[in-house]
Amino acid sequence: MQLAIEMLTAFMIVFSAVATVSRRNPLYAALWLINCFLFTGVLYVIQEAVFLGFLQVLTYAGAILVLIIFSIMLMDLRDNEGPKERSAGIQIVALGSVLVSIFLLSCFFLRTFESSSYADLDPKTKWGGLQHLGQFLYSEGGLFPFEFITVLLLGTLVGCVQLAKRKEWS
Amino acid sequence: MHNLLANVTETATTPDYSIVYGVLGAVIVLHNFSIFMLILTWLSWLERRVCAWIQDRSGPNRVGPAGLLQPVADAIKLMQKEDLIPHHVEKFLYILGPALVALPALILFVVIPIGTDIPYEWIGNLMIWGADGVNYFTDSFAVNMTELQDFARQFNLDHAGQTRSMAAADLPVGLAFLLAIGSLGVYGLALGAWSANNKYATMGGVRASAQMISYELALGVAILTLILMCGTSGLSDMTIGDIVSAQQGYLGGWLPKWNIILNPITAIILIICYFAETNRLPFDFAEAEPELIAGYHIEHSGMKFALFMIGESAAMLTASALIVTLCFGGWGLPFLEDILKVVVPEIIDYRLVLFLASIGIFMTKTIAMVMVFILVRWSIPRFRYDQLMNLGWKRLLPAALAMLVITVFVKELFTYFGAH
Repeated sequence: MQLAIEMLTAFMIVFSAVATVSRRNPLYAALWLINCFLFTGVLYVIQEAVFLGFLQVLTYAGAILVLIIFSIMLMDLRDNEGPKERSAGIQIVALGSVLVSIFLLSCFFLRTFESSSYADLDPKTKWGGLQHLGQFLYSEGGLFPFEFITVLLLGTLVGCVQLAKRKEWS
Repeated sequence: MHNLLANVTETATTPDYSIVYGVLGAVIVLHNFSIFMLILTWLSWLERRVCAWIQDRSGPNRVGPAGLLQPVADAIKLMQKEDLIPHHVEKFLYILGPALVALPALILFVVIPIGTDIPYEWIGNLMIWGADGVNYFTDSFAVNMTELQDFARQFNLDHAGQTRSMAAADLPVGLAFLLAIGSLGVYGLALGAWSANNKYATMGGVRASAQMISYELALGVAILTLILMCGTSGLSDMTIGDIVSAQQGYLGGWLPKWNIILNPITAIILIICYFAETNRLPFDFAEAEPELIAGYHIEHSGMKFALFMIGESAAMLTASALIVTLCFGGWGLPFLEDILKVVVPEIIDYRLVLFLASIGIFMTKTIAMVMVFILVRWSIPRFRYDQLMNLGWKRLLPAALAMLVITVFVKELFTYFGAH
């Protein structure tokens, strides 16, 4: 029963993610993204990480997506606007996505993560609770991924500034 | 094989109580939901009557005694109206928006304990008495009833001293739930407004989303401060019931330990933020009549318009219930338990009287808070938009953060000197 719910939730996450990138209307894309985040929260809750699940909903669905929708509402959307022709690099992007998917699926089927420290966390101890989460993040090797993600976010920020910058001066 | 046998013997000693939990939960959900809906139905009547009273008018007083059937008449009228969908709207979101508006307020109500906890032994006793009653009138079910009585006695033994919260779902992460679901409230409004494809509606939606984002920060910090005051176990292990229980003691022997008394500044910040979160005057920028005509719901009519209005009322009601729970001691009334212990005769369990009284007290407090919402609406004019943003970012957020730091400091000081 739980496995069925987990599979359904996982399917909905992937479906929402695909729908997010395939919508032409940015507002509907944002709505599918909200759906994706909500189902991710559900997946956390199913696996006893209740606090993490609600934090996911609070941070992403509650705050970040509101900002995204806010900026979409400020834009002047017209029907049938946006690039009609396919971008040049789309084949490379598609190839990359397929390779990453194959890698992730092989990890799933070969159970690569079973021997890692994540598997030692017993779901029954409510490892998603604040205390366990805090201890894991700041002591048991959770610090490096955490810091790495912040660097990733910084890179995204720089990229956004670069994209949004006017090119008059160059 | 050994494990299998162990499991069998284990299930034989402790019967499966899930059906009892299920029925109890369903009864509590139904009870809380009907109380919510009952107050919600007459909220529009209350608002119009109070408004009329302030403005020296009569208000709706013709349908039924004192106009009490006015909400029914309104509902019938609105349902009869044509379900109009203008041709220039985004159809899906246009219909989804009003439906989403009331949802977060309804979901949030499940974590609010609206009365004292129920001891599980009451449930067992109820089953024993019920079986006795059936046995008294018929003999045909005799065997079955004795089994039920044994089951109930075992149930009481296994649950000695345990209680069930009166919240429909007493989540261990109640406060994270509160913040998470509360932050979804803006979507119905913003999406409904955007889908209407109207400048005024879009302006209203943009304003509402910016406003809610701004005030959520101060609200979150204020709630954090209240959590810190009520316990040390942190956000993850504290239910909303614990916050109510923590407020039941007395300060210096006579002053109730309500958060509004212990930490008035944070409580007032919390109340102001809830005014902004529910889009009530003086913060109703989403529908500001003189500027935006009707704002976000300008293109919605009939039952969809009614859903927006119901959503606003539901948000106000849930916000009132939350303010009462977090700042005004929830279902508690000072010295009530001590008085009941003396006054109630020995035959009746005084906790039963306390339980029934606590539900009434909670409803009275919530309606009193709703009255504050209504009185403020008809007393204070709307801010300018820049004033709203200044208040949120330059006043409330720094004040809430300062109160957080001060509260931590004072709490540590009290812990250090052992006076807490």
